[in-house]
Amino acid sequence: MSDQVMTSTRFLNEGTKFECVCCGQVYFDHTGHCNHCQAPTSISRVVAERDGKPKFLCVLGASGAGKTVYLGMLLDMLTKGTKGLQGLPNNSFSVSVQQQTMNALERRRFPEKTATESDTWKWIHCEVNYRKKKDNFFDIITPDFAGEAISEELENPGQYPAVGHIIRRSQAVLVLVDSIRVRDLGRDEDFFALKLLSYLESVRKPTGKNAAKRKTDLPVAIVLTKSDACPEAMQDPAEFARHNLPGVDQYLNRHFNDYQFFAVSAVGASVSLVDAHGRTEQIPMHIEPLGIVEPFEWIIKR
Amino acid sequence: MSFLSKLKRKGNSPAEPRGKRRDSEPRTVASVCYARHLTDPDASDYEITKAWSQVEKEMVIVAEGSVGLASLSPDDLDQLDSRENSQLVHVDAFYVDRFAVTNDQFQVFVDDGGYENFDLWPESVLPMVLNFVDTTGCPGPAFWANGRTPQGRGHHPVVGVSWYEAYAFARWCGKRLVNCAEWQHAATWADSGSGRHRYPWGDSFNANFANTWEAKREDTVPVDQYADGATANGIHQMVGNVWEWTDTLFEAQMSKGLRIVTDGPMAEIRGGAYDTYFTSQATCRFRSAQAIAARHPNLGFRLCLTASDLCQPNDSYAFCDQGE
Ligand SMILES: Nc1nc2c(ncn2[C@@H]2O[C@H](COP(=O)(O)OP(=O)(O)OP(=O)(O)O)[C@@H](O)[C@H]2O)c(=O)[nH]1
Ligand SMILES: [Mg+2]
Repeated sequence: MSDQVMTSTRFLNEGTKFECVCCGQVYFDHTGHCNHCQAPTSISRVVAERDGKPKFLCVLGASGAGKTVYLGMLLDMLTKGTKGLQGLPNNSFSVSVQQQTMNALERRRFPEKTATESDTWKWIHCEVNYRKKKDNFFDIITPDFAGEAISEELENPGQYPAVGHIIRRSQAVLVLVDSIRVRDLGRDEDFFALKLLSYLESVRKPTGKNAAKRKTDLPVAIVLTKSDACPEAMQDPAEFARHNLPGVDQYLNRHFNDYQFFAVSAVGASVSLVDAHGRTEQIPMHIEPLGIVEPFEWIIKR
Repeated sequence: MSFLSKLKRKGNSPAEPRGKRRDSEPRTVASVCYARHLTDPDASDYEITKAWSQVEKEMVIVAEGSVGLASLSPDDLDQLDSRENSQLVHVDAFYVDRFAVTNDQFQVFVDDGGYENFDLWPESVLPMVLNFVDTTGCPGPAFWANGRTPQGRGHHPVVGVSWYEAYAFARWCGKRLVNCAEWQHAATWADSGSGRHRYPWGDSFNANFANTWEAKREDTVPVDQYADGATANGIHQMVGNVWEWTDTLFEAQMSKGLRIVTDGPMAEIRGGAYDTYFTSQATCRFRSAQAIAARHPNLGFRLCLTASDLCQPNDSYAFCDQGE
């Protein structure tokens, strides 16, 4: 990590006002969480102290889509440095998402499901530098959302304000979709992702002249997770999506300018552990990340 | 000749400059299938002697002994390095390949009609053999094209082969797949004096000694690279580069009402690969598994011979003089 290139910073004195990085609320108090969206003020402060506008992305998806695994793995790989990208976690929550996920995976367990209560979410802030150039950096700023909360927010906008605020401010969005469920369990995943895209579009509607005719500029990476167990998705993610996520494919085509399909997986093989009551838990036999950084690379390169 | 004098140290033989394969001559059926003569009662002394000299070049003897296999019981699966619950297994003396089977060697099998020779395949999988094709639909490993080894990858381990293809290749060339206890014994035996290391070279990981995720190469390398990570007696890449199929089925286990269920038959795989993320999962002891029909880019195999099964020439040829 010694070769990390830091962006230049200025120091905010106690009592200086600054904006919440997520919802824009103005603060004087430099500790705790934003009382509107629950974002830790420490992240907002780091961003406010830094020169230049923050550029960041967020990770969304249904419950069980693989967000926590993906984020933990991505952060860990970026921190170790990969493909010319070097990440520096900027708060202890990022480190704990990374640590809990990696500890679990190394011990052949998947991390626990994320709780729905927004005040328990771990917010991630990782500053990522590309090819060691000073101004070539990007942030990952996102809470590790619970899929159920995203679902609630889609049904009743405003219920979980952080979701809308983060989307409004993000330069790009990663939408995670479980490829196994897509393949095996009908159209449910397609409908959920479709709702999510239409929510994204409503939040990021083009404005100004000819707005109604223009497509949304927000770059969207559709990330098909668990492709270790769905090789069809890994082989050709776009083709897989065309046949198995028809709603998403058509919606993106019609409403978004800039999108791409990816397939990722964290594990090399998995088995199921079944208890006496028939409850099943997936066990990752060994960890071999595949395609994890590519969606992020695609975003950072634009 | 003493038993120990038959054990070759890394690179002390004129036949093998340190860590390098001697592979300049093109591979032929005879050069890959030399071991057939060692179990053939009709083989001539000349053939047996020649085969033994090939064994001496390409394989290493591993003396009999016992090895502690990590428990695969559901409640031990999360142990990072379980020595306590290991199960002691006896292993007879065997000869093991110094290197994983290469694309060049596998090419000879393909050219010799290995995929069409139904005697080599278990009868139950014959319909499946038709699906074991490359990117162009020709019989061969999954990532080849037109039945040919990808350019420049002749010395890389063959990958994209299911357990069945590894099994058929082994039968064809007169050897067999290593079982999981043998694999671990081969990886650790040369260090047994100092107490069974985690890696072939010692207990701490070193990214210069094995091609795992830490090496950031994201691909296989030729089988003779990372020679510094070889076992003391010259078995290369037991850790890293490619996982290796073993001849051990991954058995669903039970404990305290917990049971492991798999989607279909799986075989045990060992050693980790170029994309293995945790160094604790690319060790001599770590046991994992893969669906036996899987044809992955990070999964190859290495072969062995049971020492007691092998014919000796009638004249007292040095290599075969085991009776001391
Ligand atoms: N085979 C396979 N399974 C995975 C992978 N990633 C995640 N899973 C499975 O998907 C489950 C859910 O993953 P999480 O990362 O917890 O999902 P999430 O999107 O955070 O879910 P919520 O916390 O409920 O929103 C895990 O418990 C695993 O069973 C993967 O790469 N391969
Ligand atoms: Mg989660």
